[in-house]
Amino acid sequence: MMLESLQSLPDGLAETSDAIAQIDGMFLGGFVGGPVQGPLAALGRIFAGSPLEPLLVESLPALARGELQERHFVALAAARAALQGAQHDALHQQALAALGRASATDEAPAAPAAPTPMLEGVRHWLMELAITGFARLEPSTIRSFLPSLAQLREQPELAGLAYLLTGFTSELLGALPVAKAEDVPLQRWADLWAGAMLRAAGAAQPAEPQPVSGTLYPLGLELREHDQLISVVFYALLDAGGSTSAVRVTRSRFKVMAVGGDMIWLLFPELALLIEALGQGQSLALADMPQLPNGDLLWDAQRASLGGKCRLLDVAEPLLAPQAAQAVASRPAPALERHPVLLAEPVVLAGHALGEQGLALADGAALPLDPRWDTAQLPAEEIGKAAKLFGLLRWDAGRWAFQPLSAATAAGKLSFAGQSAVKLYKKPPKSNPVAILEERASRLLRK
Amino acid sequence: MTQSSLRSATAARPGARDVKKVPFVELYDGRLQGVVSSGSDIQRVYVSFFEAGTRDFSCSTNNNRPCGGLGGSYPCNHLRELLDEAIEQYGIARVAAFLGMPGDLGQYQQLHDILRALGTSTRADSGTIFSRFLGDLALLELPADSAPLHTAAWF
Repeated sequence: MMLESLQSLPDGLAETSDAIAQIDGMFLGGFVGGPVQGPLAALGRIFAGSPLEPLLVESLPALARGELQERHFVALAAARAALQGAQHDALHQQALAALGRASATDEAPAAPAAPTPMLEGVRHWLMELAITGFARLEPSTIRSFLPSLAQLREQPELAGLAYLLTGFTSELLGALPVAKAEDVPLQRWADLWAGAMLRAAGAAQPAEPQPVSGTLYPLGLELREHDQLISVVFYALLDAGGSTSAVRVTRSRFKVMAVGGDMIWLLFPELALLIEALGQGQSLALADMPQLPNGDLLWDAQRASLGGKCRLLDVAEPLLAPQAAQAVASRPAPALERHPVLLAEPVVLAGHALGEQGLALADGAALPLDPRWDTAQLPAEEIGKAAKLFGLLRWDAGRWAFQPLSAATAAGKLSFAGQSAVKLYKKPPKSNPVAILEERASRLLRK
Repeated sequence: MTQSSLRSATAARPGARDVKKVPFVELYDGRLQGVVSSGSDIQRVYVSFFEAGTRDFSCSTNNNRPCGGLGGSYPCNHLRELLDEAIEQYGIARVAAFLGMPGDLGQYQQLHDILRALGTSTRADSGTIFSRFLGDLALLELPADSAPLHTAAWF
């Protein structure tokens, strides 16, 4: 194993973080009356000679002169994303070297996004946030945008943006007014702002799926949730056409806050099969499941059936252990996904111990546990005594960490984040809040 | 240099909400507000709220008729149910802080601790609450999606 190489950081990473922090500083006090001249000039020097230079040569001086137009803010969001993209690429290469994995071939560049009239209002509102500054935002500015956001949610092709903004507005309303500027989670809000601005620049063409048949080995799942949204991501191996690759299955839905905790599984009856396979230790047979070029499966429960019993982590270890002989290839991420927080390399670990500092690995390297770890469903005790772990190598706050998703005992029994779903699907509660509210909705919304 | 992109607090994991009794409760725009089912008539709901700061309260039918159970200085059963479900959904610490309860917030451990320190009955326009409820329900009408959703990684 070579995971100790993750202790040192790639060249230029810290300097790039400083440059990003300079940009983010402008968003704290806003573009009217905030100190923006210095950071804007510094940014211009960083991008000299890069493909973004022609765009920034116009936009940065304009912003410094107080010409606050949408396209200049889009350019600024692109510059920030390019810095994070460079960090993402350096970190991704570092992770692949440590894990002994190759990178799969890069996809063709995505077609340019098409302008969408609905997005104009979104860009304008985002510009308003930047001009005011995160520390000075008023709740009324957020509330006034909510009707437009409800319309945005009706557009399936803009789902990524609608989820992001639904979460961001809800977070802002919970945090405003800001008492002290240092209370603002600046990098996070700047991430959300810039991510929304880039996705609001236009709607990208969705990729065309191709049918795939083979055997799927689910290994673990991750829940991403906010008061009004829930997204479940399954990580799995797919054996198809003579080769095995790491794939993901995602299901997402808007929800209401009253449906939380374990009840969220009632929103996804179509996932019962995947949960059962994880809970029982079984593979799944797929017949013509749609698959995107990047490997993601578009889940359709009709095209899957339970397969044979197996020890899922034993199947995965020869492909996903660090420096594995038959290591899977890692797919490069499309432009909009090249952000360090989205790095998530699937890994199987064995022979580890759990200490105060996180995991002590078989080769003596130490790896902290990532805060995204679900300690409620996968307690430290189970992590410590597990024979094998499956999880994700992740990056945040300047360091690599491990997010455990499932743990197998020596006898092969699997515990996993989200395992409370097993009981819920087997025995749904007598009072089903999702059914009650859906019935209410059909009565009230179609009067 | 070591700033984080992640949320500091994890998402609230609401307790066992009774959505049959109280289909909707939220902390919004200075009010703890929501919709409470009538105990007797399936077609009727009450629209109720507590004001943050003054802790004054109001309860009326969705046709804006005053609730018969509401006295001048004590809340009706609808309001108690609303508060109880708010505590279930948000936790009592967040509810007490939002309402601006007086003194040390640590002394508010259960529903009755808050009920003892309320304001008085008020009549104020509550028309927006019902439309907020409909907007909330509309979220459940949107279909599930299978496309990869990278923006959810921040939540």
